[in-house]
Amino acid sequence: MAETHPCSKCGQPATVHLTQINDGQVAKIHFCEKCAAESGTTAVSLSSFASMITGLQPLRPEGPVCPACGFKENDFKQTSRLGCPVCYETFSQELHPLLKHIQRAAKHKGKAPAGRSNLAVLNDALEDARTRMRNAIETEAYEDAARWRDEIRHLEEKLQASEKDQAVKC
Amino acid sequence: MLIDALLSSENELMHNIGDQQSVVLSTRIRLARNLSRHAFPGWAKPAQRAVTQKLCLEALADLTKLKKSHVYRMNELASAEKAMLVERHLISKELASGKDGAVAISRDQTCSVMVNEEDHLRIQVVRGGFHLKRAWKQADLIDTALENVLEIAFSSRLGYLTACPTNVGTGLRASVMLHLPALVFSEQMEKVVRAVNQDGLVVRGWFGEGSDASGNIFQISNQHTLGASEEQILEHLVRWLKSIIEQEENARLRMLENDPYKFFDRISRSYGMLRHAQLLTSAEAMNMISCMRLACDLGMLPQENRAHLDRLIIESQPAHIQVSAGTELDAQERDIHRAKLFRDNFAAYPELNFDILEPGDGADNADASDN
Repeated sequence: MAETHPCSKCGQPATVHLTQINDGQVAKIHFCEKCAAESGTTAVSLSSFASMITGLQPLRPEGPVCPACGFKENDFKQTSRLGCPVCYETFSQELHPLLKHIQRAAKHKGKAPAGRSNLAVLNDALEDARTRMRNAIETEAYEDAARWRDEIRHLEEKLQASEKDQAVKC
Repeated sequence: MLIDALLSSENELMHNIGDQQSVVLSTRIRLARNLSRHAFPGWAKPAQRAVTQKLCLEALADLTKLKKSHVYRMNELASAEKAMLVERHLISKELASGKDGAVAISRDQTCSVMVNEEDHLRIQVVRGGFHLKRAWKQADLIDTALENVLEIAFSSRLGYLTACPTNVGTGLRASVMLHLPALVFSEQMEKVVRAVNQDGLVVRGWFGEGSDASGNIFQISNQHTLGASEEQILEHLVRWLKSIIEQEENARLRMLENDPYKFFDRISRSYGMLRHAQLLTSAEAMNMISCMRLACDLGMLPQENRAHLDRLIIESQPAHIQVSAGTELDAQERDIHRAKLFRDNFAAYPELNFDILEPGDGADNADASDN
């Protein structure tokens, strides 16, 4: 006997079943006749089809796209090179474990262009303040923790102002 | 040819201006830099690459160190000219085969800055002998001067941002070209390669990535560019290099002491071949020059000949043979021309001196350096 599915949108028994294969991944969505008609054509992309349904996340997120140069994670898989300097920010989550693996480190320690040294100093101070706040919380020294929290806010504001000047855009 | 002016002027690696040493042929520092607000060359569209090329070449034209430098755009050069620049290590194979690339080469040919290679800028300083710190200082000066006029992509957390994450951070690749025949002959090289690989260094052949170690010449460089300062990277490399140089010198002495006839025979055969052969491939020639270089180091040939041999290594490469013949050559014709080049040059060489086992003679251990 055929398996019955509720409509992904309204929960009524589904009569329209959409199967889409994208990069070898199979995704299925089920609709009742009414909801299928409301959705229009079945030739919509999987992500827009899925996002039509309230609360339902796209079944296969596309991953980040660099806002500056349009580079995608898949492009990196093909070329092993990034698209532009902003890609390091866009793909920071994906790059972090990779850098740890190929470079055995995650933090720059060398030369900085004149004027950028300020940023490096601020970043180091921020990292230090965050560690101290965590330590203070762990030892239940909440007054100290509050002081470090204020310091972190202050440093973050300063850092944002400095980075605004040097924002990298393609 | 467009590169005639460059070919006819003297340079450190080919005209005995640099410090000729027995084990260390040359030192190279390379810095990878990019312009912020611009896509990396590999991802950029042709129009964007034209913009970055213009910006970089304009900035380079204003640098004191690169005053009156030779500037070539890759699309203006014939393929033989590009191949000659590759054989002289002035540009990379990637720049020669890529799109919208250019290079500025200083008058003395110790500095070259490649534009639109894998990164927008690749600053390179090459010195004869073992001079990592001196070469780094020179590259650092050019880099700082460029930073004053160009907006360089940099992040306080990750350092200099490069197209490939393997270069991010300092963007520094420091490498030293070593001649290690005794470690190869005594089959110890594999052990050395394994040990340095485990400690964050990379061993490559004469032409870098993917090339074999013909001529017993190895390029040793740092693998990691993130997490250590430029000085720390150089110090780490120097520590290993000093140890490898010492091992090579010891291996030479051991070979000479343990089996001098086998050793002399190897050198004599190469000498005879270079004097009389009618066909020589590039790899054969490299291996024989390696033996002649060793003969110079041990006093079997005059020390002055070492610089001449280093020059022959470059002049016997395929594109150099092709251009000096002045006509298109197939592989066998190149081997004929190469053999003639060596016969002509070796006719003036003195006979080998086999009296080197007397007390007081022996290997040249005194490699002077600033490291």
